[in-house]
Amino acid sequence: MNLDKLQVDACIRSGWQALDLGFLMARAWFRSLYFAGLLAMTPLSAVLLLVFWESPFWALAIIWWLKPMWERLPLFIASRKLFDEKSDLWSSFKAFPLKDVLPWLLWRRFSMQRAFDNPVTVLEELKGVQRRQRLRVLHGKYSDVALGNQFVCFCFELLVWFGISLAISFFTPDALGIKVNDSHGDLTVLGEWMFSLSALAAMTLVLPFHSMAGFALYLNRRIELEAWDIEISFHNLANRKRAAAARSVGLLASSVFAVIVCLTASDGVDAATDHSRESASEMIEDVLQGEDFGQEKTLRKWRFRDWNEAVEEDTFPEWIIEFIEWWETNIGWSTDFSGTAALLKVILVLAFAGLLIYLLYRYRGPLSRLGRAGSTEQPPEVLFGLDVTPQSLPPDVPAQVMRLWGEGAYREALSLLYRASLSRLIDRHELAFRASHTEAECAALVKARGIESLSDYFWQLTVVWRQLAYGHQVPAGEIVQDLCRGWTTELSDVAE
Amino acid sequence: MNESSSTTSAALNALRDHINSRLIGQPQVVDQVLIAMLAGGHVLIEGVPGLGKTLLVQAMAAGIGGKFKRIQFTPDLMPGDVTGHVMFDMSQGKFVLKQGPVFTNLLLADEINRAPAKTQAALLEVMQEHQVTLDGKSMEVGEPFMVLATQNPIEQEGTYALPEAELDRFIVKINIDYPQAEDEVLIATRYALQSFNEEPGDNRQLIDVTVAQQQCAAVEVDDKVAEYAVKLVRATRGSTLLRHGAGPRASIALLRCAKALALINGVGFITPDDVKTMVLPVLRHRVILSPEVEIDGLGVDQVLGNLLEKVDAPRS
Repeated sequence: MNLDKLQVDACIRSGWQALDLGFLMARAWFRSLYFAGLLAMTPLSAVLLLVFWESPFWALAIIWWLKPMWERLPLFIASRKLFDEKSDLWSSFKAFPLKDVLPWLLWRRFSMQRAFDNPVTVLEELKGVQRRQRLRVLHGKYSDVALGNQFVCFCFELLVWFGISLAISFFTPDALGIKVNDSHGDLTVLGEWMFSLSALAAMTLVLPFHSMAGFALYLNRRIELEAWDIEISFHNLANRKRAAAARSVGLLASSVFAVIVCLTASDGVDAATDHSRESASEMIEDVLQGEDFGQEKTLRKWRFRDWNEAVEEDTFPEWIIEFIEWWETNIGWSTDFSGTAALLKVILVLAFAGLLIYLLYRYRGPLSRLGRAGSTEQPPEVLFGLDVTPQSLPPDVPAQVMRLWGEGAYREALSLLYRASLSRLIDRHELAFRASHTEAECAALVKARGIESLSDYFWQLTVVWRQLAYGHQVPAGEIVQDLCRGWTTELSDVAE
Repeated sequence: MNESSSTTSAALNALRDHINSRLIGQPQVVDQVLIAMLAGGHVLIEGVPGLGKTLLVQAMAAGIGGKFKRIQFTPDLMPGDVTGHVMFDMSQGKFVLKQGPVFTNLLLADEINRAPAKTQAALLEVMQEHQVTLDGKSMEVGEPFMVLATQNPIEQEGTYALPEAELDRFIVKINIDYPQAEDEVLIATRYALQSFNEEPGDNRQLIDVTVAQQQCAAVEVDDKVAEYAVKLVRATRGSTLLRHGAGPRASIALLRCAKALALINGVGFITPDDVKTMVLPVLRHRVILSPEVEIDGLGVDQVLGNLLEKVDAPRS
């Protein structure tokens, strides 16, 4: 056992943290452990399933009973991996630990701390009195956690078993004609096979986690009892010293130094031997009676995981110190408190400004709506691609329309009349047309204004405009004249 | 608008009055069904049972002098039950063709979403091509031919949602709702005394649908209006409110329906108003709402209404 090659951090953990470490180990080495469990189980399981072909539940029961055996190979492999020892699956299988199997399959079968106790049998190979003494020491702590591990893994295994079984029964197409239950509701042989194979799958899946959790608990107890962490620290210290010595001097110098050290050491040894056993014991007793020994104090506190202790150090912000220095230099701490009052004034003004900014930001939505409601919306200048500003219209719209009509520019003439009407409706009657409004929707808005004559006129204009624009039907000249007269009546400056 | 178009418009109004006299309180539904008929399309009607859908089709069939058949779609309905099949006649000693109910003029596919996809798909060919392939031979169904399919919006258990490809075949989707209180009083008093089959008024053929469809196709479309229709359809694509927008078939359907509306109104050209009026019936079944919008409880009509507001109307 070379502690320097230990693959996990050798520190003392709580029992539940040790279980976490075990699950982590199972995940890290899952493939090896899973196949190890599978390899251990498969030969005998296959035989049993063949023997009990018609009632696979019997085979399942026997396989389940032999479960302590299947846990040994993954544990054995994990113990090798823990110290970074190379071992392939087959060589491990050949070294399959079979010692003390019978008790585990008889009176220890229902041990609730099996995963915790297994390493004593499999790895330490202890039996009889030695085993009992060893377990007594180990069980001094963590027995409850070992029990918890057994219970949690049992529940999880059941969950996985039912999960797999239900998934198979739900997702098997009816067309395959697979019946899990017969007409009496009892399981068919096929159903038994399905449940048995699901149980085996669940068993092999959970087995590495259960074993590793127990193993991690066992490791934790040994680290605690045998101070592996301290031993590793000393090893590291010694290694660092050796490396430093090797770097600092050359080969010859090292040799000379080694000789000197040996001589000095032998002097030291000689000196040490001068002390008798009794005087040494007295000295130790004196030291132990000192103030630094014999006191025990337990401290408990909450802290965040991965919390950097350095952050907890109280440091006064540099900028505050600079500010106070500046204040002392420029304003000073006068006895009439005028400087302090000025400081308070500045702080209050800043606080008020901050509050104001916060409130403006917090209620920006309602405030913006309030602003919009209060402001009068500017009429559009361009609508439907037409310039609808009053300035864009000719001074005498009807005359311009009739002139264009006379020149044969029918479309331009009616377009001008329609645009002029829209412009006046927006400008004088404050109608809120939108770009998505069609002609009939615009007419409906005019109608909603409640001026019947205006509404009738605009509808008539809209009908004629649509006939020309979309139906390409040129209206009679009289109709256009009527519309121009109507425009003068309803929308021109005279109409005001 | 020429004289024959005016005659057709008058005949359409007569037909509309005839149907409205039987189906009380649903004038908008009647208009939209007539529009779909003129546009040569099919109609998907969504509404709770008992709002007179069968009566509508019966009255319409009588008005156009056509035949009417009805299929009640059920989960065990087979494609052969819709289109027909070839069977061996023992007495004649040979295979004879038995035509299905699709060989008619107006086909009422009641609760179409109760049948599985295979049976629904049997309607695809006949809806698109107006023909059925039986025993390797293509056979024309009656002309005019129109499918009026219904589905119930509340009982969704045990239904098969229509696939997008089939929904696209319906030119409009009409939501039929309960009539107004006064109309319901009229319905109750009238049909408390007589059965639905006792048709009041005359049963004369009021219109030649084939001629009306030809005149509908001849309605003039200005380029700007066509562009507007396409813009409206394209506005449904790429919107974050919709998971799936309408395809080019929707643009075609929109213009066709707008033409039909113009013809009913007695106008020989379509306007942006005609297009905008038909947007909701034409598009509401061709788009799929995004999940977030559905969670917010917005309906298709609301979302489409918002999108329409973002498309500028033309002024040619």
